[in-house]
Amino acid sequence: MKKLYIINIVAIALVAIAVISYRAFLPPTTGAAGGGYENRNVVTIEEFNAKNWFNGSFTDSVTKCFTDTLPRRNDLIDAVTKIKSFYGEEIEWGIKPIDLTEPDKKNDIKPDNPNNVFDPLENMN
Amino acid sequence: MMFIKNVKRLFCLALTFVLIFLTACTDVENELNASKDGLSSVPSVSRGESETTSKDKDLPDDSSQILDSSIQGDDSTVDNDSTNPYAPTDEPFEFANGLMIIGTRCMEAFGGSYDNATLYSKYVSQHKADLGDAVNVYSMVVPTSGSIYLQDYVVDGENYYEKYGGQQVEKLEYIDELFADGTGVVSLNVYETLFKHWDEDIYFRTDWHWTQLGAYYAAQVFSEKSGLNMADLDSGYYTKDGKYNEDGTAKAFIGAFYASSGKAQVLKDNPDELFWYEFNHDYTVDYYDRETGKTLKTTRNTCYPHINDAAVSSWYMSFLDADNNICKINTGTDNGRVAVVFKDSFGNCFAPMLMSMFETVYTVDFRYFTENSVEFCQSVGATDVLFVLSSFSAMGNNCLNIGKMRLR
Repeated sequence: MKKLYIINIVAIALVAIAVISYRAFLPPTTGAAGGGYENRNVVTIEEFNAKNWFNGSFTDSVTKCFTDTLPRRNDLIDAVTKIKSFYGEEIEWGIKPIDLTEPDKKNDIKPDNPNNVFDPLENMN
Repeated sequence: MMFIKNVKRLFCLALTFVLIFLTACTDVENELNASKDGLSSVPSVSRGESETTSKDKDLPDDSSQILDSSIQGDDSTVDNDSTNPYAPTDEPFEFANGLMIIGTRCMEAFGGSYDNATLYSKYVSQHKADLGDAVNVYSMVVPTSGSIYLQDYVVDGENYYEKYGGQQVEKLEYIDELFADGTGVVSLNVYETLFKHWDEDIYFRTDWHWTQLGAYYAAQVFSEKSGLNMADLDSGYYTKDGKYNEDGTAKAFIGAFYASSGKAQVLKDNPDELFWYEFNHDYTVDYYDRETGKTLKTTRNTCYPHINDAAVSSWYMSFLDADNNICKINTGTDNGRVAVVFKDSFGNCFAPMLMSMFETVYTVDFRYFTENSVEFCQSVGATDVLFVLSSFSAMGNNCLNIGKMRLR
């Protein structure tokens, strides 16, 4: 019985070490987010000061930075995309739809009177 | 029995870690989807390698640090009067993850609407009304590559412009009509000009943006309409530069279409060339934080801060450092004219082309601007205000941002 407990603890410790090592020792994603996926730079951690701390932007940036710089981030995205594809879920990136969606024909209806087009900012004037 | 229990525990533990990773990845994926919505959404806290920061505040203070750039590459020669009649390609067609690939060129279907085009013209016209007669207001809606290269492309009797083109050209003409109705806004329809140069590198094939050559031709249209003199590409005023190897060969630029097409091999095998034009005189570009107005850095004699070579898909960010900042180009042209360019990412490679026409050029991304746009134009003494944006922005939901920034 005692032997099994030890095996259990060792196994848990090994998994924990593997996860920590993965994050700590593998080279993080740098440069453009996704290193070839997104047309933007990776998020960096905001300056630590009272304002950033209390409005939550500092902790938010830590979370986003962690997510953005996760080692082999693109491979993980690919893996998730493939798993999702088994369920037939259609998302914008990563899963190949059978056919291209035609643009919505409602967009091609020319308004009779431009003044009648609904303006969501109308009441803000 | 106990052994089986422990195996179960281990399995649960492993499953938990896998789920944590998957959740993290899903977060990344969601952000990725969100960034796609705005063509090139950029977080505000990350900069290129050449960045420096200072404690300076408030636009438009002087900068604190100057960065030099070296100019390389050969002079460019282009065909200013291309007359080759357009001929649709007969290359094969394939769908790739909701995109179209014809031969080696990737394109999007166009989904902009007449309604949003109406709102866009209304918001720009309101800017003109607020700014008054003393300020010239121009609208330049840049068509996407599909508006050109889908023309007359027929497969099995089906015209692909009619099916997937979303009447983009007709909608651009509709915007012209709206502006012509006494608004005072000068509409710069650059479609015909770009179409005339269809056989040149005016659009990337692996990215949704246009090239700076396309922007140059568009700037010629502005020059003609505004009456401001612009230097020709073959005048010696420009020097072609970009992402090149030491031996002068182009480094492979594989744009954002590669990832969004599900890594289409044909795009990887046929990369683009990322080039830009430097200018043969001294000038500086100040970069301000778009939210705080703090001066971030200044580049000397280049509008193209260094972007890491490893970030291949992001090289378009070389143009004015992408959408991160408000930029002020101190051109050295001594004519007292000040331009404010409200733009999306398409405006980043266009704005430098105004170098010979204005003394000062400001670029502001209307999607992220937090100030009142009219007050900003007045505070910097704008003589000309340009709206330079892709047709997706003008005829999509992004147009609302143009209306909002006037009301702040």
